[in-house]
Amino acid sequence: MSSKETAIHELDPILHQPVRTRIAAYLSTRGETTFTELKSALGITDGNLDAHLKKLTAAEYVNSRKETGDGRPQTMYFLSETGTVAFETYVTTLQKLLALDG
Amino acid sequence: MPTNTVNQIESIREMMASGHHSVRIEPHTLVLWGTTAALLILLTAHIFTRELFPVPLVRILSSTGFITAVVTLVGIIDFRKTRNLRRERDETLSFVQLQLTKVWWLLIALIVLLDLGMHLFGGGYLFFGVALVIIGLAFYINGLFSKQMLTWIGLCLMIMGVGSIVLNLPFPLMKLLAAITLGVGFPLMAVTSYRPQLTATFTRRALFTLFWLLAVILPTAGIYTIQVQSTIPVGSPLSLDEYNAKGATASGETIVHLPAGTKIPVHIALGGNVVQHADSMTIPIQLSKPIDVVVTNGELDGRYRVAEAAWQLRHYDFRFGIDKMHATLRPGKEPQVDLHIRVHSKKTH
Repeated sequence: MSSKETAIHELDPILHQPVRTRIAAYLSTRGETTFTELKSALGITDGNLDAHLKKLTAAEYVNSRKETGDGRPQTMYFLSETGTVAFETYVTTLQKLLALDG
Repeated sequence: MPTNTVNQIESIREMMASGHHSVRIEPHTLVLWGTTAALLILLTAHIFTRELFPVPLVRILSSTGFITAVVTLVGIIDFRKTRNLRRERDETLSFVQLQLTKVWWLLIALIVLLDLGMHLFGGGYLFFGVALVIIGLAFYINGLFSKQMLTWIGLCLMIMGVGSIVLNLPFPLMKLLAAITLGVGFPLMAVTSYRPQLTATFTRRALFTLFWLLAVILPTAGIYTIQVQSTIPVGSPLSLDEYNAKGATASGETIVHLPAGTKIPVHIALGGNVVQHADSMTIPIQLSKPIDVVVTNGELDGRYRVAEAAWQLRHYDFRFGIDKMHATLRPGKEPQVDLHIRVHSKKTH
């Protein structure tokens, strides 16, 4: 197996999907955010975002917490430690691939 | 694959940048702070007058207490309203925005402290210029983490502040500029929050900045010109002899001409906690240039002009500077203090 094939093989299948990569990238710098803000940043539909968030949550890459208090309760989404490591590894692998592509 | 990889990395970079630029100043914040600051600038001096508060320290402390109470109240109202609004829209105040709100409050506190310090220790002429620079800095810092054009306006504010000091603008003009910049300029910026397409491209941002500057500077120049015109006295100057001849009958507004060379005795009373109150002494000074002064109902009202130049106000345009204060104690001689005071009218040097 060539180095390039090895690198492709190393790409995380959960993150190697454009919308999920963008969600992880956004959360990595934004910190906590709501569903509405994520939707606005990504410019996708509720259903699409919900489906991808469920996959990221199931993989324990994204965690959520409920915030109550004054006003309406909010659900905050954030990258978990596992998700942060996975995202960093994914970016490193992508950079490795880019270097191999010359 | 290479194109896909490049696209993927570019997409990641774009989303990470988007996450970094999470600060958004709400329109109500700009309107609330802008109008409050403008009202404080224009009204505080009329509330805390010499007549109501004859003791300077009491007046200064009362004024600072009032300003502190108002900005604290505005800060609380603004923060609560912003937080509630974000909740209603299912949005958050990002970590960066929360930290920058603290920076904003600290810079506002710095402006209030600066006002107090300048009232107590002098340098008040610089206040509005420095305040504009500090507010500009606050906007610039917020702008570094925002998609709004806050860095542009921040830079404009800083240039206006420094410019007004460097150009030695008259104090009332600096005050008016600060009031209009905050009272009109801030709400005008709020418009871009409702209509982000106004500032979507570089050209649009540049055009909006130009429009914003004109909307702030033109009214300032217009109102100041009207103010100055309204203070110009009407009539031809009387000589000192003519004025003296009128005696106690001189009522209304009279311009009196004091030619160069006129001797004016200055009565000086020195006091303090290291010197004894001495009897006042008189130092004769001589005018190096002719001066016209305005006497209203027998009292000098502060308007003057030097060598027929523009009319000025003593409170704002007449400056004293101590160039040197040097004490000597030499054997065989008595202690001596040399004091060099520079007196100038702002527009004549």
